[in-house]
Amino acid sequence: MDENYRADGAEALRLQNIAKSFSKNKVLVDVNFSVGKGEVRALVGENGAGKSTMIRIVAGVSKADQGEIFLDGKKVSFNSPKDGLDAGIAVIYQELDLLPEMTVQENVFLGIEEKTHRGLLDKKKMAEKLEEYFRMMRLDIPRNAKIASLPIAKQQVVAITKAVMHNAKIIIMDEPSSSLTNQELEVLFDQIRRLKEKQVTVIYISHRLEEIFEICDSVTVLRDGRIIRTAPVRETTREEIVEWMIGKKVSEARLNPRKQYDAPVILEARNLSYKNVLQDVSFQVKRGELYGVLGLLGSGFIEVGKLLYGVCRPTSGTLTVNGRDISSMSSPADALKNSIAYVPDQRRAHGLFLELDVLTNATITSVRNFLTNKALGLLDKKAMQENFQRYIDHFEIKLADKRQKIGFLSGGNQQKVIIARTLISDTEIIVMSCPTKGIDVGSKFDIYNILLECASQGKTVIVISQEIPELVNICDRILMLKKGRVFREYVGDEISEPLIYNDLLRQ
Amino acid sequence: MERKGSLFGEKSIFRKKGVGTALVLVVLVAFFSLTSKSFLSVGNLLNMLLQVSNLIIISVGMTWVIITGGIDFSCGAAMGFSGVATTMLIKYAGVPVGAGIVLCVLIGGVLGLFNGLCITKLRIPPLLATIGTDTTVRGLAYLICDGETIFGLPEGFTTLGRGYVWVFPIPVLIAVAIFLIFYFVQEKTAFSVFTYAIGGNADAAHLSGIKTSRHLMALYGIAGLLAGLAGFINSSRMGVGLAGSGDNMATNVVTAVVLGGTSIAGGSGNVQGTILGCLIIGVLTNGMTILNVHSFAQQTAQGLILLLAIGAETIRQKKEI
Repeated sequence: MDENYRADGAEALRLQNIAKSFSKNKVLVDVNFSVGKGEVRALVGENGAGKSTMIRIVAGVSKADQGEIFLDGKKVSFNSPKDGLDAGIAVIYQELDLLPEMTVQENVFLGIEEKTHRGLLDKKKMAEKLEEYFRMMRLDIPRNAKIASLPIAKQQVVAITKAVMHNAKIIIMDEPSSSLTNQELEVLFDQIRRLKEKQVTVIYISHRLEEIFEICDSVTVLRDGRIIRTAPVRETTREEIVEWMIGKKVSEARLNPRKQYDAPVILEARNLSYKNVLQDVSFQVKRGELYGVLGLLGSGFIEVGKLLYGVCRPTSGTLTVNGRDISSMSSPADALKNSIAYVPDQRRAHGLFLELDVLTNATITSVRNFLTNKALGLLDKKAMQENFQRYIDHFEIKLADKRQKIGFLSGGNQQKVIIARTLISDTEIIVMSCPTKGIDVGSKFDIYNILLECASQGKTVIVISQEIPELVNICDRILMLKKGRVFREYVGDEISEPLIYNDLLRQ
Repeated sequence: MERKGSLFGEKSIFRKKGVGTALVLVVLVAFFSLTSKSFLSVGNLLNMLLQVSNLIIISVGMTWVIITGGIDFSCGAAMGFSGVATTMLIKYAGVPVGAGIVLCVLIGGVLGLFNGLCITKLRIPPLLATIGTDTTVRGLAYLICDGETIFGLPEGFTTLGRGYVWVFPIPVLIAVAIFLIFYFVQEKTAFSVFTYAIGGNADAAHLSGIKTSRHLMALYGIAGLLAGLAGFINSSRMGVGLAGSGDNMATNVVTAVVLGGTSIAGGSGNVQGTILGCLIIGVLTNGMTILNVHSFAQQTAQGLILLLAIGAETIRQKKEI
């Protein structure tokens, strides 16, 4: 392996023997990485390969357990993101950290405002500087517009402008293309080319390999916390990169032993559309099936779950459960009545009641099933405790007390409680959005087994995820979405990681 | 991060919270009984309870509102308006006193539902919405009576506010009954679970199938009903209808609820704590009056207590994080 790959020109950033673990989990192992000035480097790898951790370490957000970082050949040590920014490293996250209610100009100069000699803001000078930059970069952005009023692509450009104005020498872009249209992508690429001319280094993280071949000079592949390969993009191919990413996988046995699964259809989506996010999506799910919905960020896969659970209403198309039209559902309460439960993708924001105890968290969707007196709404707390206890034992949920706040549990245990919540509410259909997001490897397998068991007991489970190995492991069928449309459905022998990977990364 | 329940578990925190508030109460009682002979007499204690009965009635309802992360600043105005409107109905329209009680409570309820509407449908933040209704409703109260005090009410009108059952003033009994009902509902019902859930995480509550708007409407409605009840008791005690009555109520109520350990950010708290908070305010006011502290100084002291209570809560929340 050519760990000694060097770009032309001077070195901008070098990581040497970087390692990082979270408890027993080795996230980065002996990472050696080097990128040159004015180079555009792609950083690719499966989810969980260690890309985010690596970026966080470079940016000063988290600290490596061992190893050294060199900037312009000088050793640096960051204790905070501010240190990283001061040293010239900026990260453009997917969730842009601009202030939505402030103007473009205010955002760009935040923290580096120009002042008059009296100490007042020199708005004129800032305006001139910004206008000059926009002219040079051939950008058409009103500097007095509020950030919130700009389309996401322009916001991204503002974030990049901000980074440049803060004198960033290295700009890291975390999946910048996931929410962009093709046209907007061109604007972004144009910016990247101009940054390159200014000798700014760009580290470009993306799942879309076509983009990498279009804009990047070189590509680094991470797998299981190790750097597998770095190569100039001219000297490699898409197939080769995919192989480096997923490794030579011996066809391991799937966790789901079923080759084929057949049962009557329980849920059907016909020509579902939602705003400009989903177009004409149709699929059928069988009773007792584990059905996967796969997509990358921006493919609309998250929205499929929201539509099925009544969080959003489809703009057009129909949804039926057991032959009954449920398209008019307008709230999660309606979905629960139609025997559909949901595990949201954002566990902390949309799933958990951090201030409340574990028992309440586990029974919140099913409290009405535990009433001793319907009219007064009196709770049978003993029955709630007993019911939940079964899942604590069965799922091996680790907790000190059913009355302790759920915020004190680990991510994996919290997720088990939320899955228990859906099972206690005893619906026929369970929609799981990103069921193992932010969960350690051990708990992941616990959760896969729980899902398989649910299916074997006749529950219909729809798993929405962007992790191919996860869906390949447990699903009977997988539906792939691309840019809001159905790309393909995989069944039987087609459920193989390399095949699906190749399809997913093809534009 | 997984932390051990025994050290940081909510039980221990809760115990500390309750102990702190109770301790303040004990110290205050001890202080005033040492400095004044008359303070600890049965007569004075019942009088003190009578003074805080309206505070208790409104505060228990407010506790639930604050648990959802909301607030109702219009409770004082609702008291004033419902009291004036009802006394006018009794005096000029010949409405019997019994029906007047019911009407007064219902008027408060309607005002509460209006708050709920502003908050859930118009999505005005609770503090702003209820400051708005507070001003509006207070203005209405003065408007309908033209600023006049409503005198000359029939016999029997003062029974609820001034009457006794054995040695107990009727308002005290009503306050105790209301506290018990709220305590029961808080401990035993699904309704209360939803209240805490909404305060804990409104998005997650919605995704758990809870009809959050409807629930909030109900809570603001209940808060209004209680303000209406307090409005009648107040008028009945004074024997007149007065548009300006209850003008300090919102501040006292919020002070009592926060003193009682209910988080202003929502999601945690309980009515038992609120009762302690009410008693602290009651003991303080009563004790200071006995000690001849000037009423302006009393008001200053109460303001400081609110700041202390909120300050202590803010610090505690930071510690929990």
